[in-house]
Amino acid sequence: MNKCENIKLKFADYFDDLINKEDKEEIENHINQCESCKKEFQELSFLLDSLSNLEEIELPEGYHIDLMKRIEELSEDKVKKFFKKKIIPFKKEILIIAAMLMLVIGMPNFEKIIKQKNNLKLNSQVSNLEFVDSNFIAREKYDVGIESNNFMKEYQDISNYISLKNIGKLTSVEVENDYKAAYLEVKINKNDTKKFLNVLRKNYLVKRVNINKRGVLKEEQDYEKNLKIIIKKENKWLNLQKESSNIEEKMEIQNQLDILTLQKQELENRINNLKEEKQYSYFYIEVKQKEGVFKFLEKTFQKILENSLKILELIPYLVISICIFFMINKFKKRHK
Amino acid sequence: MHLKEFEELVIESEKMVFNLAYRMTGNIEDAKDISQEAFIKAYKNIDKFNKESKFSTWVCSILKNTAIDFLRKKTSNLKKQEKLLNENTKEKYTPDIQEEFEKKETSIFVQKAIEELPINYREIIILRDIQSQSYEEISKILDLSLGTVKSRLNRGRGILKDILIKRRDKLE
Repeated sequence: MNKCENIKLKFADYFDDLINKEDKEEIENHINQCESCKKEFQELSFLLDSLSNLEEIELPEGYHIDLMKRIEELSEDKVKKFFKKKIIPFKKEILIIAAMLMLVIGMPNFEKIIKQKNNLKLNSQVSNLEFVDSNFIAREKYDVGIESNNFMKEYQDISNYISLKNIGKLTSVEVENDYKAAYLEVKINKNDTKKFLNVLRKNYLVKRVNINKRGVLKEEQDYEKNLKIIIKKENKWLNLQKESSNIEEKMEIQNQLDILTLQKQELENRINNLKEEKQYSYFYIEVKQKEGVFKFLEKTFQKILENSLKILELIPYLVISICIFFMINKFKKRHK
Repeated sequence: MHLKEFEELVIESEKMVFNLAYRMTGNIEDAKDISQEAFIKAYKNIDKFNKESKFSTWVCSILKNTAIDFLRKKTSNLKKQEKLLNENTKEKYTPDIQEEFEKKETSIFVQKAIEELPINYREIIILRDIQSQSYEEISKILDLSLGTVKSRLNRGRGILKDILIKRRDKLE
């Protein structure tokens, strides 16, 4: 009886795989002899099996968005409280006037912002190039400004240099419709990148822009995760194959195994490809016509003039809005 | 902490936390409420988070407390309802075990059995046997020593086994 109790105490460690060989054998021997312990053992193993087989549940739809909204509202609440404390002592009228002033002064800026946004859109259309091909991994971006009208020659020089020295490849070239800029995607062997950059720096103005490096790493991690899962499945099937005696069953298992090996090969290929890609540095080069200093000054001066004219245009609106405000105030006082 | 940083932590752990909540309550709506509550509490008290430990562990320990509060309220409500039922009809409340079995969803069957467990044992069995977390992590989440975790786990398994056997007998 005492022995049974002892054995039962070791069951938990047995299932956690935290047990030495001797104890394991002892348990297995004892189970074969003692019915009640055998029953208990089987029940426990059934329980643990059914628990670990419970599937993980997917998040309900919109869970994450909901949660982040609630948290965002929280942080906004903090801001609101801060303002309530500080601003309530002032009179509301002052606030309204301030808001109106802000609006009127902000108007020209507002237009500017819209303009900027449009520009951004244009830019993003162009820079979409970086991510057109999912295999293309942009690690670094370099702007190359060239002070010459004949920039087409310059970009040919760059591509010639790459092909002659055999340090990499030009993967894609895009020229803007009005021939004012060209965009090159270049991959260079990692060992030669320094040399290449030095040559660029000697001849042109080079500005470095960082692009996020996360995409690649994540992809690789995903592949490796999947590979691990597949290997686990494969082992399970292999064990089943050993245990089963039925020929049909064996055939079926073999089929499953074949599918798994195919998947494995594909994943391994992809990982190898990524590793190969990693041997290169990827550059995104913009070749643009640079503006001269005088032109630049002229343009900025023009902009300043335009904006100041706009402010002048807006003064009547300001006067009118202030008038309306005071009229409303008088109206209120009369009624009181 | 910046909202974006926090969001990254949330993305890493939300599925696990939600699953823990679901296993504790057995109800998706409740699980959503509780787990989100836990994340919000975590955000409010982010300055108390020790960066050396895992974020998911920390949120799980918060979740544990909110879940216990929630379940206490719910059970007291249920008891009140049952009392009313008993007074009105003088018939005993019969659980719809048969229906569950007809669906042949053993997972629901097991889940219902888990819900019958006392909370102490329930949380430990979910963490270890369903989510298979390490003993150390569990002892951090529940703030218990390794020894108590192990002994409590053993007792919980025994109780759960008895519950399952009872429910099976009822069906037959």
